[in-house]
Amino acid sequence: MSNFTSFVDYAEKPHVAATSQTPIPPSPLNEKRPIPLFPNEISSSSCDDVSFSMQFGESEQGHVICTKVRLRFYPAVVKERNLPQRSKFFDDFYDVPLTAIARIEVAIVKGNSKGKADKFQRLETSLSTMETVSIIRLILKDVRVVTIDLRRSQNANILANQILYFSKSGPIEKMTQVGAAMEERGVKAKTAFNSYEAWRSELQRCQQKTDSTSVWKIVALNKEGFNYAAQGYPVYVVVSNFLDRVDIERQLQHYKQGRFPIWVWSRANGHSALFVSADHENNIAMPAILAKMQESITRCHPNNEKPHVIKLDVDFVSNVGKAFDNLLSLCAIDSYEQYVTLQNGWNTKLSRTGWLHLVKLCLQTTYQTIQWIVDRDRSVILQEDEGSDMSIIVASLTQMCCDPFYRTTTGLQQLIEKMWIALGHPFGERLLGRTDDDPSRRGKPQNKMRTDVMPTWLLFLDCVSQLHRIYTFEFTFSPHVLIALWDLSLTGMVPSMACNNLEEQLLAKVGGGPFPLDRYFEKSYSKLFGNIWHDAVLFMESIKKNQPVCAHSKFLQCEFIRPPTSFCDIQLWSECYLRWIPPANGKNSGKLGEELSLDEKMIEMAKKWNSSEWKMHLDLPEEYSSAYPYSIPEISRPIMDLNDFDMIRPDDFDAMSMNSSINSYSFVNTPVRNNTTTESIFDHSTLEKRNRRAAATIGSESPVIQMRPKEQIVGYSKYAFDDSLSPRPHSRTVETPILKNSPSPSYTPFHPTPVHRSNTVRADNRPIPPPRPQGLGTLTPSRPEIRAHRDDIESPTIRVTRF
Amino acid sequence: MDDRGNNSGEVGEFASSSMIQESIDLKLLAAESLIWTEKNVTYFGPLGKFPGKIVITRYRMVFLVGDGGKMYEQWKLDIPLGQVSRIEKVGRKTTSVAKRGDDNYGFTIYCKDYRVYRFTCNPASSDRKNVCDSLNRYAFPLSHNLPMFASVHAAETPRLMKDGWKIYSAEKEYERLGIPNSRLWKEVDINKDYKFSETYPRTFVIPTVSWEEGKPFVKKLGEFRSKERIPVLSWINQTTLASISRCSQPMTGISGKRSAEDERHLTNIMNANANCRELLILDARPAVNAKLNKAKGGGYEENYVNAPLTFLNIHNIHVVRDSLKRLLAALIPRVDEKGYYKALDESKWLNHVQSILEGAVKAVFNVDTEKQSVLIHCSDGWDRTAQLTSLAMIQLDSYYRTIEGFIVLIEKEWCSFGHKFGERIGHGDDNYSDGERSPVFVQFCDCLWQIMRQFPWAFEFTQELLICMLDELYACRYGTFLYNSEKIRLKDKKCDETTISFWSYVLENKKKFRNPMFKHGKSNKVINVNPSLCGLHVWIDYYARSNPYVVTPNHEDVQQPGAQFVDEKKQLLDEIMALDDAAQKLTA
Repeated sequence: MSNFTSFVDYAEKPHVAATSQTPIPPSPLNEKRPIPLFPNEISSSSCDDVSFSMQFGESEQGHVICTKVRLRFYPAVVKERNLPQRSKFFDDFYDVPLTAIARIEVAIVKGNSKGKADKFQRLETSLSTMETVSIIRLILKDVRVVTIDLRRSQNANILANQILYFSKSGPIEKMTQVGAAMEERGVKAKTAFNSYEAWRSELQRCQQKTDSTSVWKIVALNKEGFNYAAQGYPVYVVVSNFLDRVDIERQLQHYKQGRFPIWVWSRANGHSALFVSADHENNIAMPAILAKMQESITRCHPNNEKPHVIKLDVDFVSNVGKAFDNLLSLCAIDSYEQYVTLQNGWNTKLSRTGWLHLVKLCLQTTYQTIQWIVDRDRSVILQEDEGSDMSIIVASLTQMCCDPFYRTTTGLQQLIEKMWIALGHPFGERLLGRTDDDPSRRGKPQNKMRTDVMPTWLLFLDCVSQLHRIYTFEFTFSPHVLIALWDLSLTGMVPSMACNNLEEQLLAKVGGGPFPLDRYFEKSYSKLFGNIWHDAVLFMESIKKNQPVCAHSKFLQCEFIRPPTSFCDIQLWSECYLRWIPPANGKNSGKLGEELSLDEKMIEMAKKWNSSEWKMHLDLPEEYSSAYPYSIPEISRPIMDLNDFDMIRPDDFDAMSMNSSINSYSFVNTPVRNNTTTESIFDHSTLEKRNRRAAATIGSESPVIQMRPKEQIVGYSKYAFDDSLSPRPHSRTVETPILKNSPSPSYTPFHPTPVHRSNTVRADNRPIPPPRPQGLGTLTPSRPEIRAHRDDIESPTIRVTRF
Repeated sequence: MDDRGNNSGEVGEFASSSMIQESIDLKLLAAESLIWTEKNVTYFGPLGKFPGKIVITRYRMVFLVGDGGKMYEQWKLDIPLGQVSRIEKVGRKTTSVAKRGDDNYGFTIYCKDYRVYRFTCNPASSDRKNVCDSLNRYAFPLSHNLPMFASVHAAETPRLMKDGWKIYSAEKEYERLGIPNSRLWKEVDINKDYKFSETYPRTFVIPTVSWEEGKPFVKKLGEFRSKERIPVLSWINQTTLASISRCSQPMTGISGKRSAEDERHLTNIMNANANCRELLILDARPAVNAKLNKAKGGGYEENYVNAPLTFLNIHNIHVVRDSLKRLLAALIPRVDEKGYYKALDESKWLNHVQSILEGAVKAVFNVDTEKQSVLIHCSDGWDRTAQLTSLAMIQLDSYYRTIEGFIVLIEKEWCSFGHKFGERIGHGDDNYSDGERSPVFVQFCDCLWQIMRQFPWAFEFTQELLICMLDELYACRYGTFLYNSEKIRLKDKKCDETTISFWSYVLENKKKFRNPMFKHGKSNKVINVNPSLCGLHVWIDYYARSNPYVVTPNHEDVQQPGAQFVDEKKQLLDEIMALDDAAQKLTA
């Protein structure tokens, strides 16, 4: 531990030194507190001198450790990004929760393949000591891609094996992160709908009687001496008051896992109710049981309407797993080459994943359910194989569409606690691959999946985002809440989302759900959780009525919203799946830009009408990505990147020592006239440097706009095949003046260091970028960089004039 | 259904107490006379059959739902006849068919925006021939030697407060761009009688140096460019002097002809920008198409000094027409769940939109970031060229994102520079399979909608303006988009005197299109559009309006599904504008 502590001190010093070198101190927004490891989180292996990159980010040098919880990278120089720190426990750019890893790919060094590109292969079993790993590539469930270049490091095999071992979740007791944010791992936290009072309150909220004249009754399944257990159901459930004890016991016996139809919601201004259920056995006793069950629900309806049974898809869960795997393959990219290839036939590829079809299936089934409940005022029983996946999705969406309460922030929390946590959705199995080892389980054996993830939970969040996009004003929360829930569920920190049911939580002595989100996320991120559109409507109404904002206003509130049923109304949830891909997003654009405009307009209205009700909602940097706060905009980068120039590796020192010394000395003594000029010069150099690095990444000429790499590749391919055309590539001419001004004609070409290759390593079936033009064969990315830098020094006056 | 109407009142309003069986009390437009009424007609829509009756006027066809009794509901379908592409009779009038009472006797209306409406009527009692003849006569007046409704309508309409024909003036716009004070560019009137180039505007701007070389030099330029459409200025950044110019293809032909004057002219354009090292030529066509044009006398710039050429790979009017047709087939009357995305990819509509946006982004990058001047052309320089210059200018200049500026942009880059609206849309013509028809302007609006989706705060108008403009493009109620060039529209037909400008309607109804969250000062920056395909979406609010299963506030009334969709965003914007006005009154 003492060494560990000293390493932290070492990591801090370059940061301080870097700060003192820049004339512009970083703004408070960029100051981030180091995130400590959990108290019991011990480093099980570490590798020095590695190159680490997160999705489209540049490679960074440093030190990486692996614990039971996460992979953490310690950069030699901390890079400042104009993004808020989201999670209190995991850094978006330097931490990889091991439970969030979907696939591990490694490039194995083979003696007889020197000079060839390393081939990635899926890592599913431990590596032997005879195999040498050069690169580890991790694909995460939140669609990020992490690349670790270990060719200059030791212990690569051990690191790979550790990642493989700990990314497979074990018993809850050994998962350090479960409940780590709560007192005593949340053992004292109460599950809301595991109590009598919660169900009674819900019945009352649905305008149902709860006294002796009620048609419903709350049954304690574990106290009535039933001979059969209801797996995954809470202790208390709501059933028809016209069922007696014998009837309930027979249903417990003949429905799968004892998950017989239970009440989850009733229409306040109608007579219909909503039930969820597993499938039942088909034996000789079943017709009588079904008749009794249906009759009991019929008697709950004032008009004696029979309930309608909707049977849901049996293969739903496995289809979700396949579709998610396909979606992950489609969206998890980390290079411009892959992005260009991705665009070709994008819609067909998207369709082939099958994901949007599942979204459509859930919304369509929800629409049908709403038609029965609202239009025909009949109760609905959602019957699913085991009653823990699609039935919960459809039931949740139905309540969200028919009950405005569930479109509020509080309502969303209550809905998730009631439908997902209390009713025993097996989060641990679906998200983290934790299979229930209970021998009494009667589920069919799982097929061999390429991944262990079957995220019906993500499918639900996706469906909510579709509703939110169409009916933006009907929700008090923003889609960032949905993304936060998804990211949080992958960390394994939430006890109820790491276990498979309530019983497991009790056995493992953990408890608690994902709420309140403030426990896990920083204030700067949770500020985005409110819906500015909904707030604006309330504010406008308060101005008209000249009274304070009323949180329960009925303004524009629709009692019922209908899910879309047409396929063209369903779109890919880009804000979630493409948020880590900078070229898929825009600068200062998208919904955020519009919301910022609305925020400013509301402030203006508040001044005009002397109102103090509106407070600024958004606090965005001057330049932001449409995927803020997950990505930075494509071009603009902090000035700190200048420090990368100082990263001279020992083996390169001899070749560059003289020139670099001259450069450093000359630069320090360059007269700077004012801050504006200095900023401009720095910014220009930063852009130039980034362009060179990006060029190295994609093996192409200097891209200087976000779409330039794609354009350049396509353009070059066109030129290559069309020799009769004489036009020269535009970007090549840009290089010519620099070359002509070269003061050292005899300068030795600088070869790219292995570090730069990490982002261009070829995976299976990945396209090879077009070859460099013949005439530029001797050019390397770093050489123009140095020339450009010298040019800055030699002509400060001209440069100042231009700016 | 459009909310078009005079200031005097809303079209379609009528008091039920004054309903008379034989005459409809619709608020008709001026000169919109009643032509025919046909009862006992059934409309076949995706949601089933609707009995009612059809009213045909000089301007439109209205379908009213009702059971044949005295009361008719509010009108449900309103189809301006200008939107009709063709009318097809279905079924024959035979004794056996009449006896069986089949639903096979009727007619189908195909619209130019690919909407389809099917009607049936009673063979025994109906007069289908008169219905179809009336529709044909007034949907295609030019084919029947009748005047366009726009001129008939304008003749009987009192002058409006705002004259849309006076909003745009070439002189005023060039003054805004700083041309009169510029020593480098000059507005010339060599085409003041449209004798130099019939499809170019009366005045245009060329480098001063080129003009000083004398008229013979300029005429030589005209001889070398298709239709004499020489390189002229579209837009200039007054600070950096980087400029966007447009023209048609050079007439190099198979022999690779060159013109010293043309090359010198391009050098003059380049030299008008001190930052410019070379003039980037953006040829909108695919390279193959450009080569094939050589056989027809055209071609592209080869081996120009300091003028590199880039092909943008934007496809021509025929490919675009087929592409949109396929897209609409995927959307209406029903969206196929399994094949929708495949059909979308196979239609390649979004790929065409992407290639246009990429071209515009490339131009913006060169002009704004690199401070280089660019020259844009296609074959004749009135289709793809107009799309590219317009979209680039919208990104570069926030004036064009205001309502007035947008009007100026459309008038200048499309109307004055000779986009052949008449041929592309087929105004008043019944030859529905004409190969010259193509939804080029629709495609431009689609590209603009994609930009507005990324930067809604940067525009003073909303998509309502685009949808309304496209509807009027077909409807022929206004004269703005009639005919094929400024010469024909203003000099020959005198539309500014004989028709009403669509912009008059826009300015009179500005509230309908305004975005109150637009701030002129804040929106001055250049907007950096991302043309990625995965960020482009199908414009459902426009293309899928006649599909009742689609969630859009622009639904046609007769096909409403069970629940009404509330356009809450529109309501919020209206509330903001209302409170803004109220605050204004308090201050005064």
